Amino acid sequence: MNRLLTSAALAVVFCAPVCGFAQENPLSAPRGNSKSNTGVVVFFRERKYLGGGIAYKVREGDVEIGKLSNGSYFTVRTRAGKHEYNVHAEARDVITIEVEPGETHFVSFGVGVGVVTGRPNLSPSDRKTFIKLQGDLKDVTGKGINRGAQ
Amino acid sequence: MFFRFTLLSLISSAAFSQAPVYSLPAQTPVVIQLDDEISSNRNHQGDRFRLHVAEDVRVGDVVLIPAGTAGEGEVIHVQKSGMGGRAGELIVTARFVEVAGVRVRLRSFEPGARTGKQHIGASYATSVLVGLPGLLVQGGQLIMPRTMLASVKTARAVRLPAAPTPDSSKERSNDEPTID
Repeated sequence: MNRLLTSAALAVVFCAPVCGFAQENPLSAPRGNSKSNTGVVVFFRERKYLGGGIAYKVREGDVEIGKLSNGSYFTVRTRAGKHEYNVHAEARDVITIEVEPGETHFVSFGVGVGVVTGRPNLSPSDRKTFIKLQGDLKDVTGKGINRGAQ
Repeated sequence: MFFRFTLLSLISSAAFSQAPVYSLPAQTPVVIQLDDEISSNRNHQGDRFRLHVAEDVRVGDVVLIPAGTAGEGEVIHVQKSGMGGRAGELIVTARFVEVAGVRVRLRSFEPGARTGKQHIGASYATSVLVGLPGLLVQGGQLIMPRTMLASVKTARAVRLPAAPTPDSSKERSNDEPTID
């Protein structure tokens, strides 16, 4: 029994770093540590009245990486290099980010005025803005996504 | 005679190649200045822009990258400002500066990601009051002006010779032949 528990604990320890959806505190990610070849992207959505009732899926290509409801955030650890993230509803919006090793990048999500529904928008942000809002945001990392979605 | 000449040339080339080379560590902070204006409404993804080092980069008292060293950056993401109060967006990065024939790779451009002034509130209010014309409210474009200062870091460790100081270049220019 003990051996089984030890194996399970080891599996968790070794698998956690390779799982892109592992929950982590985005602000505790080491800044400027270039030893690992991964970086972190934090997607967050400020709580607002406009378009607040709809949750939007954020995708990389066709793969869902997270779902942002009003007043939420999620983190993704990913390989260094260029990544293109998109959201779509009435309109499609794309943001390209060059993830740098050991760095944390911040992307804010907003909803603009549309004809039928709101127009989602991913825009570059920074650590300062995220810190200011973090207290009001709920961590939804890894929640509400369909990993098999294509 | 030939032997003496060969020996002399060997000694002088060895002395030249032993000019001190210093190691500039990865993550060394570098202050740069843009030489081109970057605009969310004019530039495109992948555009290259010019920059230069704004302050000497030193290891101890030795200048390895002198102020004025030229380099290049790249526009990673751009979105024009648009209808519905959508603001212009820019993400840029510094790629390298070239010193003594060596390309020093750069990273971590601060502030590399920026968003212009959003007018979503105005657009929404106009939509509520007068309907569809609210969509015509334009967001603000974003401009990173020429001469804007930014901080970056060296991407990896690199070995560089000391940059010539203004004094040493003065001495050298005195030795150079002049034409009357």
